[in-house]
Amino acid sequence: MKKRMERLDDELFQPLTAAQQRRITAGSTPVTETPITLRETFGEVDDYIRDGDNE
Amino acid sequence: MTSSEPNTAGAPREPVFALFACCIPVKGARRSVVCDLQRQSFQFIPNGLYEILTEHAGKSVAEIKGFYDHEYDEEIDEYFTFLLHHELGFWCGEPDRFPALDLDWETPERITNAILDVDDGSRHDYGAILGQLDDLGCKALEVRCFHRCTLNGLRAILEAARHGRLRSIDLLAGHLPELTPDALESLAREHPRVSRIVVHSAPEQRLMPPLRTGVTIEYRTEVIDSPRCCGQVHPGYFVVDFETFAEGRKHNTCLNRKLSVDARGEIKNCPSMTRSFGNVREVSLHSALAQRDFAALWSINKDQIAICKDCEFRYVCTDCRAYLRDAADLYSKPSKCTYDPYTAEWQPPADMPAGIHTKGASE
Repeated sequence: MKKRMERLDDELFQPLTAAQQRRITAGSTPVTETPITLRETFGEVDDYIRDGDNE
Repeated sequence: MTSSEPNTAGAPREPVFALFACCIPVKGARRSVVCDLQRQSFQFIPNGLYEILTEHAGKSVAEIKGFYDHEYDEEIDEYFTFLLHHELGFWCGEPDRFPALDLDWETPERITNAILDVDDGSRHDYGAILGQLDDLGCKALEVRCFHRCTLNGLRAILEAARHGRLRSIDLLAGHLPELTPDALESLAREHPRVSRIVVHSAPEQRLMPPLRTGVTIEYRTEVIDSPRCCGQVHPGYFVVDFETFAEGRKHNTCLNRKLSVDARGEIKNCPSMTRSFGNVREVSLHSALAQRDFAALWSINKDQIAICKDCEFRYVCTDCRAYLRDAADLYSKPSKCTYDPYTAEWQPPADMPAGIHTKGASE
């Protein structure tokens, strides 16, 4: 499918400024919950969390 | 433009444009980028140019213009001028002589990077933990001290790494007056593996000039008192290099080959995650790593994550699998990412992320 060819002087294609690349130290969206459990690869088991040292 | 070369039939062959092997286009929903892995930068390009660079690779300009019925001749000329100006590619007669980079990612280390969290109540045996990380081949360690640290406290951690194999150590520590720039500089000189020191809860924001060894020392006023400060997704955290790009195509750029020990000694994929694979006082890191599902998240790459799979930054972004928009869906977008790849807009930060407080606001 042929694309519309946009001009490069569009604001969309301007490099990020230094300010835009500065690491954020505050401010973001609210944090949601963390996943409680990981999805088991081979089915549900109850004893996987603390297997102990098997070495 | 290079001079035309004869092809096998003897007719002059029109030059074609080839991207340098280290300059790789990545398509997003609204716009694309060309990642320059050698210069560690990226340039935004229209999706139309992405189409030219991928679907019409190996074609001459005349053929490309003809394909678009000469409707965009001016734009196409502008595109190639742009690519040349930014040294993203070159004209050549035989592009087949310039093969693509092999982007398969492999590493001999079982663990490449680790996080060690420390607070007032931590009772870590640093020698034991760092020794085990050494055995696993760990190259980079981030030590995050959520409390106010003495110099001796930091020194004790670093001493445990003195004869190890770690290549770099990033330190985060709560401010105390004795953590002066001179004292930290001296600490970094004593321990050349230190690559970065960030002091949180500082009275003022301050970024020191990098040391001659490249070590950076930074003071921040934010109080970082828990792992919940982590998971930010922002251009400032993008890593545009071959290693990350290649790893990110097949693996999770945050969790792959990562191991974490939280402040209580629980061994996790990431300190922000709830699941523990045992306490480091009872379970060796080797055993934790050998447990089923320790590596389950390592292979979740950005091409599998909702919304991220349409983002042009997906191979240079560090991701987060701990804080998700939908906690029940391990393939949902990081909750702290405010970028919308469908509009190519970043939403302004709404409020202070959990785990970071302005000075004086901590409990």
